[in-house]
Order: sequence, then structure tokens, then C-alpha cells
Amino acid sequence: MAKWGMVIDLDKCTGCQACTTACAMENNTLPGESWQDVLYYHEGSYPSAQMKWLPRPCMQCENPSCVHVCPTRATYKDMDAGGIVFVDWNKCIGCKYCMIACPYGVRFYADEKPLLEPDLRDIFPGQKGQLWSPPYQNPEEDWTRGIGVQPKGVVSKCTFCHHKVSKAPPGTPDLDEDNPALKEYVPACVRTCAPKARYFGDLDNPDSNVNRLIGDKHGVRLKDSSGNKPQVYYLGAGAGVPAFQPKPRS
Amino acid sequence: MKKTLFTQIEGGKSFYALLAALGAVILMGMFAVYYMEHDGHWVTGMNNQIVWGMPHVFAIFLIVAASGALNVASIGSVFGKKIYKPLAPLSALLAIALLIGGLTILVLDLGRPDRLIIAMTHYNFKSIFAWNIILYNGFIALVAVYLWTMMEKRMNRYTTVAGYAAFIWRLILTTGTGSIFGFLVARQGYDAAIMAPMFILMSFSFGLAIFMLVLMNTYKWTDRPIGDVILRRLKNLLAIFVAGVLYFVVTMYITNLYATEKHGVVSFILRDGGIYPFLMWVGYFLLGTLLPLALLFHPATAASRKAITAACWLVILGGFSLVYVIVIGGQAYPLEIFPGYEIISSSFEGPVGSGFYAYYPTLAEFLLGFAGIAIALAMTAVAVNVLRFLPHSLADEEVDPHAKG
Repeated sequence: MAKWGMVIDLDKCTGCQACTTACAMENNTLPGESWQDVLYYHEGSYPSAQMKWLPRPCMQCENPSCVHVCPTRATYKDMDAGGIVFVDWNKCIGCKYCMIACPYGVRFYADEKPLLEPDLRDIFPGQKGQLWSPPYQNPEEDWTRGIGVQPKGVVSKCTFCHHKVSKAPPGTPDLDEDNPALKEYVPACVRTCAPKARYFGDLDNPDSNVNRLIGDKHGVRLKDSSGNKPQVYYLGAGAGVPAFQPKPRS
Repeated sequence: MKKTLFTQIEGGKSFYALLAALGAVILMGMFAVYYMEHDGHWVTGMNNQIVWGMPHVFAIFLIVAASGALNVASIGSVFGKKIYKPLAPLSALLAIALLIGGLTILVLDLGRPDRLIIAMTHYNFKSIFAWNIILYNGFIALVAVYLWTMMEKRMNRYTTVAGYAAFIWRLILTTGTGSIFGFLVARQGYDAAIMAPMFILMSFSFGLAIFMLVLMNTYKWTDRPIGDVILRRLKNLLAIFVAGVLYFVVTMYITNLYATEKHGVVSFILRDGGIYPFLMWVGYFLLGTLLPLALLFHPATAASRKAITAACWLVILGGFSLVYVIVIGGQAYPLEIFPGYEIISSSFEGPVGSGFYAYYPTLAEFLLGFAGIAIALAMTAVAVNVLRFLPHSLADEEVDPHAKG
């Protein structure tokens, strides 16, 4: 079985947030519930100020803190599904311990304050236990993996678009949006990335492009010191973090 | 020592007025729960950054205090101090009531309280949270058995064994509660092994303060005598526990300061964090620790019952401030996504301007918290009215035959 991993080249990323939008459309998340967020930072001060950004999906950690703390095993890592970390919405009791335990802040409580007015939940009231009922709904639904329109009172997160990648032919080293035979299986954020800053493939396959990129371009993992071992790698000058301003020594 | 006579309290007008008042608070709390569940948790001050809010502060305070309320019973059964034995049934009763009050808040604040049965049947034994579910349920069962051995003559011979079991269990329970935070390495405001023993000391202090207030007020309202001997011992014990908590809190922050990576969070809690330094310095250190210690030890106030009562209230206030800072402050300090580097601002969800996440508790959250306290007090009131939990007299000559007349 593949171990799915994502590589994000920060030298290519333009911070356009197409990934954020595509993810929200694909997974029917509410505004503000950005499974695929882009964080923005200012660096330096006038006249040499710069803006930096960092796309931040769920890291699908090999050693996930969220899985360890979940009291009911609602959050679990599925090695048969490429090592993706899922939330079983049938088991989640909404204690939110996983949200506190995640070092990357990539878990969301579905029942959040509306980011926009009017509240879309009032315009499209939820049906059959759903938090809301958007006019376009992804027909894929699997509550045991946290896929579909979220119910109330549970935690949600990025699934690496499991409903797409799970249909890829077995043994596929990379899911490349340029390959017509594979593009339907590519995660929404990867497929929509205009500058092609994202790559998705099998980290266990030595011939995969993601492995080659990580090796050749010195891919790094965010907060590797936490021991969580993310399955998301960053490339580029900003990836090693020197692009961010060091704290002044006191 | 004379044989202690236990009696129920009378159910007069004032008793039913108290029950009605507590019932009203519980009712308001239930309305708050309905409001939060019906409209959604977004009507509270909690958000995706501050995910545990005021209800959790109330719940954790009560759960910690529940363990400490058992102090008096433990001292009697485990450490053989006979003077405390007449107080043991009330001590155990209050321990159960406070825990049920705290757990009620916690359960009603869950996103899906209707799935409580899942929490009871699907255990992840790697999760300290799951362990706590077992520890809390076990505590209630064990202390209930302990109470039974105390109140049923035939079972008296097992009281010491049950007392030992309950004592060990409560230490593990509070260790578990402290570990919920201590194990959270992702949050710099938590991630401290010292939190486990610190929570044990916190439980001793908060639980005893609540116990003393309940004891003194019950005896005052029911015109039962309570002597200086027992009060002097209890207030000295409280002072030791208050000082113990202070030791652990100071040690925690000093050890945190030893690690450079924690300088930011300590500065945030103690200097730059707005409400949090205020609650720590004024709420916890000054009002919740130094002032009660002064009241309990100063020759001018040490013997005054009003001063002892005030000290108990202040310990509770300080404890609540401390728990608030631990629970909310630990989340308000942003995640260090890039350790060692300064995140000046972020536009989407990060801290902007003030540098930390804001949390404004709402009325509904307070009402739920107060309802938890009211549940604990109402349970205690009904129990002492129905069963013989309280000694008829705690006058000095009753509890200590050697006391001066």
C-alpha cells in the first residue's frame, strides 16, 4: 500500500489561495473552516518589508498527536489508506482535545462562528444531521473517514482528498495532474495549483517524483522537532525557515 | 473521645429556599445548554484557537476540588487522625457531589453530549482523556463504597481499607487531570510534567477550602456548635496546602524560564498577556495566596471565623484564577509554528496586533458553570437532609476531650 505524501515548493507558491478555494469547494467546508489554509507573514520592516506565506494542509503525521489523545479512537491513522489521518464523525464526541494537541493547528471544529454575513447555515440549513446543505454537494460521503458535509459538534480536517486518491490504480508512484489518466485522482489543492507548486505521490516508492524532490531539493518537514513526522514536505528557500526573521536577542 | 452522634439537618423554610435558589441556577444552566446546543457552540466565546473555554475552567476546578474535598476523610482513615473522623462522611459526600457537578459541565459542553455512551465504550488507552473517564467513574464508585463502610455499622471494619483505596485512587485521578495539560507538548503554555503533582496540591487546597465553607455555613445555618479546635486544625492545614500550591506554581514558572524556548510563554502569562498577568498576580498570587496566608497566620485574624471564611473564599477565587490562566492562557498563546522565529502577523487566523488569541466568555458559559456548582451543592444539601452525614456537635469537648473548656 502507498504512503501518500505531499511536497510543496515554496519558491513556486504564489500565495494565490486557489488551493484554499478548491479544497473548500471539494469538501463543502464553511468559510473560515480552511482545511487547506495559507498563512501570511510580514517579514522585516519598512523600507525592506516583505510578505511571506505558507500553505498549511494537515500534515497526516506518521506519529500523530491527535490520534494519541482522542479518547474514543474517532481520530485514527489508516495505513491501508496511504497513512491518512481521518476523523470518524460517527464516533467523535466533540471534546476538541485533538485540536489542542495538534502542533500544526490544522483541525477545525465544524460548528464555528460565521466568517461571512449572512450566515450560510441560515441560507442553506443542514439536512439529515448536516451542519449546512450547500447547493453543490460533493456526492462522495463517508462519515467514518470525515468525508462529506460535516455534521454538528464534531471536528473536521483535511483528508488528502481520500475520496479521489483512493481510486488511483494501485502502485501509482505519483498522482500528477498533467497525466490525463490520473488527473481525476489528484487532490483538489494539487490539481488546482496554478504555478504547480504541489506534488503528490507515494513516499514509500523510491521511484516517485515526490521522493526525488525531497532528496534532491532537501525537503524539510514543519516542526520536525515535535517528532510527529509529517507526510508533508516543504521545498525552497523559505522551507528551511531562514526566510523568517529571527527573534532579536535580548 | 465520645461516640459521635450523627443527625440529619432539618428541612425548614430556609432549607427549601436554598434548594429553590440552587434549582433556579441549575434551570438557568440548562437553558444555557439548550441555547448552546440548539444554536451551536459558535454562540460561545470559544473558537478554533481557544477551543476550551469557561465551562472547562469551571469543570476542571470542580473536578480538582472534588479530589481535595476527600482530604478530611483521608486524614481520618489513612493517617489515623481521629479528630477528623466525624467529618469523613461529609468529606466523601462533597467529593462525589463536586465531581458530578464538574462532569456534568464537561459532558454538557461536549460537541456531541448525546454520544456519551461512545466515550464509555470506545477507549483509546493511549489517551489520558480516556483514562480520566475511567478514573472519574471509578472515583465515584469507590468513594460511594467508602461512604457505605463509614455509614453502615456492619461495614465499619472495612473503612480503613476503603479509605486507603480512595486515597490512592484520588492521587491517581488528580495526576490524570494534571496530565491532560502536562502531556500536551504542542502547546508551550502546557507541556510541563510538574503539572501532575501541582494539580494534586491544587486539589488539596481548593477542595479543603470548599469543604470548610460548606462545613462552617451548614453548622451556622443549622445552629450546630463547631469548636475552635477543629477549625484551627483545618485552617492550618489549608494554609499548608495554599503554600504548597504556591511552591509548585513558582517552581513551574522558574523551570520554564530555564528553557529559552519557554521565555515567550512565561512573559505572556506573567507580563504581556493582558488579562492573564492580572489574574496571576492579583487573582492568584495576591488575593488567592498571600492574603489568605496572612489571614490564616496573622495573630490578629488567625482565630477569627470571619477571617477563616474570607480566607477560604479567597483561596477559591485564587484557584479559579489559576485554573483560568492554565486552561485559557495556554491556548491564547499562539502555536509556535516556526520555533525560534518571530511571526509578526498573519492575516487569516493568526494573532494580529496584540500577538495572542482573544477569548471573551459569554453569559451562557458562565450559567453552565454556575449550574455545575449548584448541582454539587444541591446534591450535598439533599443528602445531609435525608441521611445522617453530619455530627450533631463539633464542639471542642466533643471532638477533643482534652480541649480546654
